[in-house]
Amino acid sequence: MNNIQYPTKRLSKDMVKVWWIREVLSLIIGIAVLIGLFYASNAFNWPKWLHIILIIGTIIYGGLTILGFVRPYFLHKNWRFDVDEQFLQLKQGAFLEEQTLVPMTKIQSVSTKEGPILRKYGLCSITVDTMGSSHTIPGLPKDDAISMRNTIAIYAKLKEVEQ
Amino acid sequence: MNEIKRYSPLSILYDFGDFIKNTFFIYLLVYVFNGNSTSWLMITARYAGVVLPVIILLISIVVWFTHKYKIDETTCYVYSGIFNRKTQSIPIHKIQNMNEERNFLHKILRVTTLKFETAASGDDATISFQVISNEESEQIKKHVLSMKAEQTKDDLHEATDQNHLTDEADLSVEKPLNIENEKVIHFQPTIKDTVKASFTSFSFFLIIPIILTIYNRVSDFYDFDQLLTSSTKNLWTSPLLIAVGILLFVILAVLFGIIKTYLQYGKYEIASDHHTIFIKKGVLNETSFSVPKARVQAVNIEQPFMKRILGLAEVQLVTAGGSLLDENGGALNKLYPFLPKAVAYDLIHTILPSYQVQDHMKPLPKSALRLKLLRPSWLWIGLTVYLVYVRPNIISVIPYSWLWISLILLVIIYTSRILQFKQSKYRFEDQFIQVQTGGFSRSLYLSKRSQIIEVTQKRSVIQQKFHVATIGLTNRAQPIRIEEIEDIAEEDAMRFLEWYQKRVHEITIDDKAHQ
Repeated sequence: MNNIQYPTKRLSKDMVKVWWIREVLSLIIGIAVLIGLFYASNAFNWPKWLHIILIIGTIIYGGLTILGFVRPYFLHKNWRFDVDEQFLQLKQGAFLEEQTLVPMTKIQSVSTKEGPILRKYGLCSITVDTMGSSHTIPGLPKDDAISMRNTIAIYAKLKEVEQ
Repeated sequence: MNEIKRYSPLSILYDFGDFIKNTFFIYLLVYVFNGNSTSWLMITARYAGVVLPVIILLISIVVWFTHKYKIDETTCYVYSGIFNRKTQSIPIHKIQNMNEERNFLHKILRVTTLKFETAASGDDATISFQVISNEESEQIKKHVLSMKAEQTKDDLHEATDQNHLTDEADLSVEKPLNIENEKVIHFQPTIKDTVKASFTSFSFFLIIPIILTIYNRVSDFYDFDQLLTSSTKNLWTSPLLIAVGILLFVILAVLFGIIKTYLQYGKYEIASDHHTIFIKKGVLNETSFSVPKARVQAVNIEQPFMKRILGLAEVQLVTAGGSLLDENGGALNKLYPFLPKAVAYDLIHTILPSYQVQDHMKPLPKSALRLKLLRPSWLWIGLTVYLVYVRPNIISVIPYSWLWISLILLVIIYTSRILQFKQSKYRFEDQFIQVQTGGFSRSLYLSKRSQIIEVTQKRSVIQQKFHVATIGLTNRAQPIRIEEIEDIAEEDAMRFLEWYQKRVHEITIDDKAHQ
């Protein structure tokens, strides 16, 4: 049962780069917003306490950004998943390790998605929806993703007798 | 049952009555209080008051002509719309629960609104038969239940083949058919129960807001200060009179509380037959709820602080269908909320033979207590930082009163954490899981492996150090219901995932569904 306890498949290594690019893009937007706020604060004479909050906010944002650049490495290192006839298994997170078991018979739909950044590295994400929750496996090589999507679709077609 | 039917012609009367009920005060305002007004608004309103009822009447007649329904062996159809015709259909096997509503107007006309709920979300999740006669409603319900029962019987036989069945279910299969459908009433509150319920819910306090409202309304017309003029002043200072006055007030409050409780919970009825559970309640507005036993996803027994002290419990059946609230916002799928705990446990076992509350559960490991005490309380830190910064003088007599508040909060938080440790217990054996959580209050959650649709296991860095984990299970409900228990032993959390994986032996795959 050990292989079932810990899923073994991993995300594509390129996913780390994808997360970094996303981080850089959001950083650019963040910096633009901050510049705007600081400019407004000076130009319109915002009260002093608001200015202090702005500076504290910037420091926190800086810290979070550094974390944001380290995070992809850990995310990739700890992401595991597996699919068999009975269950979809997901395991993720280092600081908060989370393991989820979803029965195939409870999956309602499965879809693959690729944005411009994912496409650059030939990756796809897979989203699985159940009756109430949604789970995303962020980055797989496109061929793997499509074959996995099809596998899940076939297994998920079977439905339990609704009691 | 196969033909297309119209609703009861009484639905025209019902719609009209509903219109009168909703506009009665406006009519009073326009024709009585402002009867002589010559303002353009009132004059227009007076004409509208004549024309509007005629229009409403015409519309309800047309609606009665166009709205129809049909029920056959497998499906319910509802046809509606005057210009844009709409057909709604729900397969009988998808119906999760049935609700009936009978308000005052329904009762006068001897009609019912019947609703079928499915687990889907959105507009088409519910089919409702707006106004049908009581007899018709009974007949439709019986028809749907018998169709469902046949289905369940098939399922049971399939399950027997797979030799995964509890003893109770085994017995029930052998029972002769005629006993199967006898409806048995399990619980009806007595006057004593109602009185007890009224005190437990502190319903006698409800009189205070009502008296204040009345006082406000009446003081517009009448000056209460007159009562305090010199002539009556002596009366108000007599201690005897004051005592009598207070006594009268208390009696009135208690009586009011009991009547209020009676109207809400007095006519509860919990009944079941072989396949279905029926819950009926309400005196003026009657609602009834029925759910097939096999569709109960889980059972939740809630004991808020007061009820825990008094040994009472609220039992809620977790079901997948929607709109489970009655007109007062009370949950329809709750058994009588003032049951003594032991009675509640018995009742669960009686109406759901496969469920039984097990006394023996596993407590959390010792390390969980250490972890619970070590975890920083952000609420306390936040409040204390604020108090130290502001140092408000809340109770002027006591120096440093802000410090006391911080200390009291700390004591409450830590008591609650120790209680959390003591209350948290769990058990998963065979196909059943039982999870107890709480602090000052307590909740006990029971479910079956086959009804759980997803499980999780989480460990934060600190939990990893203390070798404990959080587990969570998801059941179908609207919205889905996630039950979690924190800080159970690490190896049990692993065992929990293994336990869940064994569900594959219990489920039956529907051969018809994947086409």
